[in-house]
Amino acid sequence: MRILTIMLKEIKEILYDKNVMAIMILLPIVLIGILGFAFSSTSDIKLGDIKVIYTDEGDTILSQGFDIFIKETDKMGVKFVEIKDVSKGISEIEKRTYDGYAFLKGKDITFYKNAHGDIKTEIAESMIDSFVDTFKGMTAIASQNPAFLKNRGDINLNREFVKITSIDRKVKQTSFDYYSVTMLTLIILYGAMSGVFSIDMERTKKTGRRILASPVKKYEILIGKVLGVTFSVFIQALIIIFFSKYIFGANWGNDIITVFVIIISEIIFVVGLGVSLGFIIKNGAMAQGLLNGIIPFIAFLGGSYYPVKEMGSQFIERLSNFSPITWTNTAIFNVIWVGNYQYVPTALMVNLILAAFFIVLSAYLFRREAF
Amino acid sequence: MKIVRMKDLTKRFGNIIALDNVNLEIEEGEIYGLLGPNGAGKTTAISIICGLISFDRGEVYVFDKDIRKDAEFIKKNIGIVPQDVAIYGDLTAYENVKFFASLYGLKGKELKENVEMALEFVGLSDKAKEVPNKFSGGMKRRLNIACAIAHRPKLIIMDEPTVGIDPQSRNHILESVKKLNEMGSTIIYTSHYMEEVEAICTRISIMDHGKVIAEGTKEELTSMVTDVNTVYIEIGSIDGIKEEELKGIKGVKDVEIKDSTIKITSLKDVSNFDDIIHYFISKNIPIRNLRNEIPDLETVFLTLTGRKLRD
Ligand SMILES: Nc1ncnc2c1ncn2[C@@H]1O[C@H](COP(=O)(O)OP(=O)(O)O)[C@@H](O)[C@H]1O
Ligand SMILES: [Mg+2]
Repeated sequence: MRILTIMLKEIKEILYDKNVMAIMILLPIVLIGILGFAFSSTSDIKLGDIKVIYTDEGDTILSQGFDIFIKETDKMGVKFVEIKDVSKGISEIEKRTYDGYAFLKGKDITFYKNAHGDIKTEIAESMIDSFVDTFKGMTAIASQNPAFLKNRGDINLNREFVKITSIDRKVKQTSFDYYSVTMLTLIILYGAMSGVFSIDMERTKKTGRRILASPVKKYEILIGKVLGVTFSVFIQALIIIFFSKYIFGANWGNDIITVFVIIISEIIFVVGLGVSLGFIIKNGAMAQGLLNGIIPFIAFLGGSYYPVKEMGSQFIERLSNFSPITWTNTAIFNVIWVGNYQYVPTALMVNLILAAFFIVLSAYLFRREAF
Repeated sequence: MKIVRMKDLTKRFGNIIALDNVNLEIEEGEIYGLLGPNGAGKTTAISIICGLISFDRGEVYVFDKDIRKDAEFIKKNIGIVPQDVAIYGDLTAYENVKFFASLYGLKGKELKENVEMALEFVGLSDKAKEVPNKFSGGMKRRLNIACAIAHRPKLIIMDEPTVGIDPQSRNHILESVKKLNEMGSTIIYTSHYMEEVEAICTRISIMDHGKVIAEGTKEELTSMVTDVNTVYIEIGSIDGIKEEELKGIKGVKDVEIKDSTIKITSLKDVSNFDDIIHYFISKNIPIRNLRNEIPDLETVFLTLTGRKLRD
């Protein structure tokens, strides 16, 4: 009950604050607009194009099917480039010049990839996976009933593959799709400020003493605050998602609940970070300065401003593993674009372990002394 | 029941001794004053009563319960008006009072009624939906009080509640302290303004450098520093007045005549006022003005410490 009281007070303070709301909601929307337009009009920076190389050593039926497949996908912005030499193909992937490498051999396709969880690679892989599945299904039927393929002919086969490639409503990611996600997860990082101020403000307004003079327990205060700030930032996130979807037509996929779960885990981590900074640095402006210094760096490594893989630096790419936002962004993109949940547990784990660490740290600091 | 009992209470902040062997007893129903200059230890003493800070030595009982064992019960029954205004500038006056009252477990209808009552009490009912950021200093101070009383505490502690406000708001606050006391709350009132403490407190501790240097009612305190009573009498002409005759009146210790004013100092416990007046009447000398000088707490503090309360 008292936790709820504190939570509600925290929510009111944040949502009543017009400056905070403007920064947290308007800024990302404006940024999505600016970055979205900027990167959709420049020709040399095309975020959306997926480039895959392939080597065709497949049997006649597979080759034939694959040809139809790549003609269809070409219309959607997925470019397949043939390479004769297998070892050259693999080395291209190591160099990251392409998003993936499909090697057709006999009746099978092997897909080589490098960037872990990169959304373009994942989209390419999932398309080839569904091609292989459908293809195998059809050849199985054909081997039972050889008349099947003859009767349906190329045109029908063609239609089947069109169906494969349109399993995901959209295949090509626009820059608006990209920045709607990365600006959201970026601005959530700035939610740490709300965490800092939920502590610092009790200090500067002297209300902390008043709360501590009441019979409320310290753990109730801490939980109430973390929940309250988390809820507030989530409301801000919801508004951003809503606007990006309906103003910029950003794709948020078919499973928004999972996206919410990932986002909430990020928010709890960020709020925990902010609250513990509020306790460690007994000066709100200084804590704010520190966050202003760190966040752009974390965000840069997480691909918030530009996809890390496109920068073409293996060093930065390796460094990006240390940015919690990398995992969050990867998980969200994979859920939205390929319905791939593989990266969700990692993202949740990274966020929740960090959250637990910072909340325990806050509890320890709060126990030792007042605000 | 003793509302507060402190025994040999000592509190250090590093090298500073904020409280030095303080002994205090506050009875139910009192308006108890803690008077002392800045840094005397008033806020520290209060913070300990509220369970906000720990202490190094001694014992503290509030409502006959040990603060180290029954902090929750004690906190529930105290309302504190902090020295610094402690309210949320962006929440409305109503939301501020409601928030703090909720922390004390009030809910539903009782919560609503008590919040309205508290705002009414400090005269802010018509500002309930406005935010304190737009309030004057006096209004903020009044809201600061409302936030401490909505849960109807047995003990209300006010830490310098009138600092930095206009005389009108100050009077309003002093009146409300008396009213809260009449409504049944014991009050602890700290101040470095001796006029305030003199005006409302039933008993007073004078503090300095972490020590209680004197304790008692206002009369007890003033009689500590002076055993004399001084009267100034202004007359038209001093012709016919004999110093020796005045000194002959019982209890009179000293007489000074300066221009047309006579200063007569008498022993405090001898009542000789009638005799002095009678002397002038019998000589047919009209009295133009008469002034009785009563020593105040400032004098007490000055006498005990050699310093003024406010430097
Ligand atoms: N948190 C603190 N840390 C260090 N010194 C303190 C602290 N609080 C009070 N003091 C010191 O203790 C003494 C008493 O302070 P305080 O109780 O605030 O006095 P008052 O309320 O009578 O003005 C002062 O010398 C003050 O500087
Ligand atoms: Mg003080």
